[in-house]
Amino acid sequence: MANLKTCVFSLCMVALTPTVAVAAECPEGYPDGPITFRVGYGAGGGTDAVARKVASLIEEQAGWTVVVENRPGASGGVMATELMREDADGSIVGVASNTTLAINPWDNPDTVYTYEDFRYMGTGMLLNYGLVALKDKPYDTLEEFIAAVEEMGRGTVSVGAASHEIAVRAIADHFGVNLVPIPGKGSAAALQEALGGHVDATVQSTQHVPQIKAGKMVQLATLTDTRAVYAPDVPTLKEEGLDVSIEGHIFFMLPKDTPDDIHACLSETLAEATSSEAYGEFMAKLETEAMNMGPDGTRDWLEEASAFYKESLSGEQ
Amino acid sequence: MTVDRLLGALVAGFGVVLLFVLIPAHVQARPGEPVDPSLFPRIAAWMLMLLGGLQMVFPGGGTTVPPPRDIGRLALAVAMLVAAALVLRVIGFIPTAILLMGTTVLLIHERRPLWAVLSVLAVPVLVWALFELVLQRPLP
Amino acid sequence: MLPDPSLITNGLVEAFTLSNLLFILAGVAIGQIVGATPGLSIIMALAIAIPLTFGFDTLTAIAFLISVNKGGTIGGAVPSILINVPGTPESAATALDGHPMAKKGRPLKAMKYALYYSVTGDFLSDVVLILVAAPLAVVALKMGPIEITALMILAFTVISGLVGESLLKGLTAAALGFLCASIGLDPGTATPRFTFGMLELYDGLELTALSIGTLAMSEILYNIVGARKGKPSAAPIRVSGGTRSDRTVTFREYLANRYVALRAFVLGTSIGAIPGLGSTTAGFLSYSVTKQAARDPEAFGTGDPRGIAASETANSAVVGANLIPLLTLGIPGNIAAALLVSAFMIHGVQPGPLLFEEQGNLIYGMFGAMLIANLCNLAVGQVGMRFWAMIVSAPASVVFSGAMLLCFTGSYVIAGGVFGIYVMIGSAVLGYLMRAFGLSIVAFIVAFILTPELEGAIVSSRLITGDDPWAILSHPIALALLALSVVSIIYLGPWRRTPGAQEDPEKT
Repeated sequence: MANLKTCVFSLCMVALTPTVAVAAECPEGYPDGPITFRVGYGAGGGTDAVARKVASLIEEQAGWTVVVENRPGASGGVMATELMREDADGSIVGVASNTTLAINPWDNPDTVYTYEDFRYMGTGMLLNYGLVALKDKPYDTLEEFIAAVEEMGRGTVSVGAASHEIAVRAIADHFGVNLVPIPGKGSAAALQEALGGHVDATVQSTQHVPQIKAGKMVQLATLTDTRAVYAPDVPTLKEEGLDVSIEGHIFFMLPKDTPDDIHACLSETLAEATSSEAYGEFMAKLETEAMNMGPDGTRDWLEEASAFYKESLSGEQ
Repeated sequence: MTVDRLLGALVAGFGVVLLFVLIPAHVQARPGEPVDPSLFPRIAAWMLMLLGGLQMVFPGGGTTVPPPRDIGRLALAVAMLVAAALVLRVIGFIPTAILLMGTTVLLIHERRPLWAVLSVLAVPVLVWALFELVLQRPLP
Repeated sequence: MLPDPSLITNGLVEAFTLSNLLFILAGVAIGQIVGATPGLSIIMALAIAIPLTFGFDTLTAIAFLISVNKGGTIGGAVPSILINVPGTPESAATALDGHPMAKKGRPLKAMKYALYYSVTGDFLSDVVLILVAAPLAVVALKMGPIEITALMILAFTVISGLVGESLLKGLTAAALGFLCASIGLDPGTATPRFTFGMLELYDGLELTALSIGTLAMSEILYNIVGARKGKPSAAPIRVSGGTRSDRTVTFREYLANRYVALRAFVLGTSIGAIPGLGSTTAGFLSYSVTKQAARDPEAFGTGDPRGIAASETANSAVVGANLIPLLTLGIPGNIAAALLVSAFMIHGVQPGPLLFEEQGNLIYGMFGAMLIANLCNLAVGQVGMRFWAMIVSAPASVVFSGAMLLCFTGSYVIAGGVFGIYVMIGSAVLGYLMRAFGLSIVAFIVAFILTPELEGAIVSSRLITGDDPWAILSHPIALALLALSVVSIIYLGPWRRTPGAQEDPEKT
C-alpha cells in the first residue's frame, strides 16, 4: 500500500489502479524507512522529471515511500561527492547524468570521483542527441551543411553541454571544416539562438522535436548509435562514416559498498518501473526511449564513455 | 569624512589584491581570446581600484563607523547563526532552532515571558511544521 | 493574427468549473502565503506543487500551478512593505517606497497600492499574451546574443536610479555585484573561477541564498543589533489607527499613477517576453526609470506611491509575458517557467509551435483560468493583508526572530543544505556592512543578476562574429539599443539629481 500522503495528493489514483505484484527479491526488513532519491540537478529539468516519475512508479509497484530531493550543483558533481560519503545501506539513491559520471572527472579539476566509485542500478532514459538546423537555412542534410560551412569559411553551432561541444569538434575534425561551438546556459538557450537564426545549427536532445514536427527545423544528423525515434530517416554519425557517438543517459547509482542483496533488490525494482507501461507512455511523451541498460550494461557503457571523454578532453585543453 | 576615505582605501586595496593575487591564483586566463574567463573579474578589479581611489579623493559626508557595541552585537548574532549551521546536522532541526531562538531572545532583550516563550518554543515548532508537514521538505 | 473570439469564450467556460475555481483559489492563497514568507521562494512552492498535480486533469493542474505563481508575485510585497524584509527578491524594489509609506502610518494603504498595481500589471500582460503571443515571440527571437549584449548595456545605464545618494558608492556596490557574479564556472570555457576547490560554488553563488542574505537577513540583523536593553520592543509597524484615507486607496489615487503603471507594464512585458531576464530585473529597472524620469526624483524613497506602482506593475507583468516564449516556442523564460514546462510535459503536453493547434482548448482554458486567478488574487489579497497586519502587530522581537528562523531554514532547503546557510550568513554580513557604509544593496543585487547575462551574451557574440566588432553594424536592433543607452545616460543620468542631498545610512 502506498503511504497516506501520496494517496491523498494523487486523489487515491493508487488505490484505483491494480497493484502490480512485487517481483523484486529484497532482503528481509529492507527498506526499513523511506528511500531518498537525491537528484544531482534542480527541479524542473529532464533528470528531475525522470527521477520523480520513477519514484512515483516505485511507490505504486513496491509500496515503498520514495522521497525525491534535489541537490543541484556542478552538473551533479555536488550530489555525487556527497553520495560517496553516505551510508551504503540502500537508503539513498543518486540520480545523475552522463555529464556527472563520464565528463566531470576529466573536465573539472576539483572532481574527486570517477564512475568507478559507485554501484549502478541501471539507467532510465536514452537521449537521442541530434544536430539540427532551421528549415529556412539552405541545407537539409549533414553533407549539405558541411558544404555550406566550407563555402562560408566557418559555421557556428550553439551547444548546451560539454558533450555537445565535443561532438561539434569531432564533426569539424572529421570533415575538415571550421565549426565553432557557441556555449550557452543549456539546451533551451541553444535552441533559442538557433530558432532566431543567430547560429547555423544547434545540438539538441528532445526540446527541438516539436519544432521538427511543425516543419520549422530539420535534423541534419543523429549523434547516437541508433537513429532517433522522432527522425527515423536521418542517418547517424556512424552511418556517415564518423566513429563518434554521443548519448545522454540518466543514471541511478548507489555508494560503492552497497551490499549485493540490496543492490540486486533495487536494480530489479528499478527495472520493473522502467519496463512498466506507464513509464513507456511517459517516455513516448518526452519523445525518447525508456532504455534501462541494467547494472552491468550501465557499467560497461560508462567504462567506454569515460575513456572516450577522457581522451577528447585531454586533447582539447 | 575620514570614514569615506578609509572605505575608499579598503575598496581600492581589495581591487589591487584581486588583480595581482586572487585572479592569477583562482582564474584561468586566456588573454585576447573571446572566451577569456579572466576578462570580467579583471574589469571588476579595475573598477574597484578606480572607484576606491575616487572615493579617497572625493569623500562624501555623513557616514560614520557603527559604534563598537553594534559591531560586537553583530559578531554575536553571526557567531550564533554559524554555530546553529554547524550543529544543525548533528542535533537536528528543532533543538537547533530552539537554541538559536533562545540566544536571539537574549540578544534582543525580550524579557516579557509570553513573547519570549512564543519565540523560543512556538516559532521553531511552527517553522518545522511548515517545512516538514506542509511543504514536505525533510529537515535534519 | 487575432484568435477567434469564440475560442476565448469557450476557454473561459471550460475553466469555469467548481473544482477549477477551488484549485485556483487554493493556488493563489498558497502562492501569497509562500511569497509573503521570507525565506521561502515561489520556485520552491512550484517545485513542491508539481508532484501534487500528477493526479489532476491537465487544465486543473496547469491552472493551479499558474495560480501559485501569480499569488507569489503579490505576496512578496507584503513583508517588503511591513517590515522592509522582502519576501521574494522581485519585491525588493517595492520596499523602497512601500516601507517608508508604512512607517508613516499607512501600511494598509501601501499594501493596497501594491495589490492593485500588481493585479493590473498581471492582468494587462495576460491580455497581451492572449492576443499577440505569437507575433511577439517572433520579435523576441530576433534578440540574439549581440542584441542581448546591447540590451544589458542599456539595463546597466538605467540602474543609476538605484545607486543611492552617492554615485561613487553606488557604482562600488555594483562593481562588487559584478565581481560576485563571476564566481563559478565561466560561460566560455567552463573553467572554475574563485571556487577554491568547492564544487558547491561551481554554479555560482545561489541567487536565493544571496538575496535572502543581503536583502532580508541583513535587515533582520540590523533590527536585532539595534535592540536595546530595558526598552520592550513594540510592534514593528502600527497598523490600526489613522484616518480612513490612510487605510484605503481611492479610484482617483489609483488612476493618478496610470502613466507610471503603463510604462512599468510595457517594461515588464518586454522583459518577460525575452527569455532569460526576470521579474527581479523588471521591478528594479522600472523603479529606476520612473524615479530618474520624474520631475522630483528626491520624492522617491520617502513613501511615494509612484515607486510602488512602478515596481509592482512591472514585476507582475513579467509573469504573464514569461509564458509567451514558453507557449509559442517551448523555451522557458525563467526558472518558474521551466518548472511549468516540466508540469506540461508530465501531463503529456509539449510546449512548442504546434501547441495552439494541437491543444487549443487547453490553452484557452488556461487563459481563462489566468483571468480568473487575477480576480482571486485581488480577493485573497484584500483578506490576506488584514491577516498579515495582525501577525506584525506582535512585538518586533517575535516578528524578527521568526523571520530569522525562516530565512535560516529556507536557505537550507532551497540553496543546497548547510552550504546554502553559510552563503546566506556571509551575504547577510556583507549586506549589513554595505548598509552601514551607505553602499546600495539594490545596486549590488541588480549587478549580480545582470552580469551573467551580459558576460554570456558577450562571449557568444564574440564567438559568433569571429571577434569582429564591426559586425554590430549589421544588427540594427543592437545599434538602436546602444543609442538608447547613450540617451539614457544623458537624460536619466545621476547629474539630474538635486545637488547637496544628504546621505541617509538607513536608506539602501
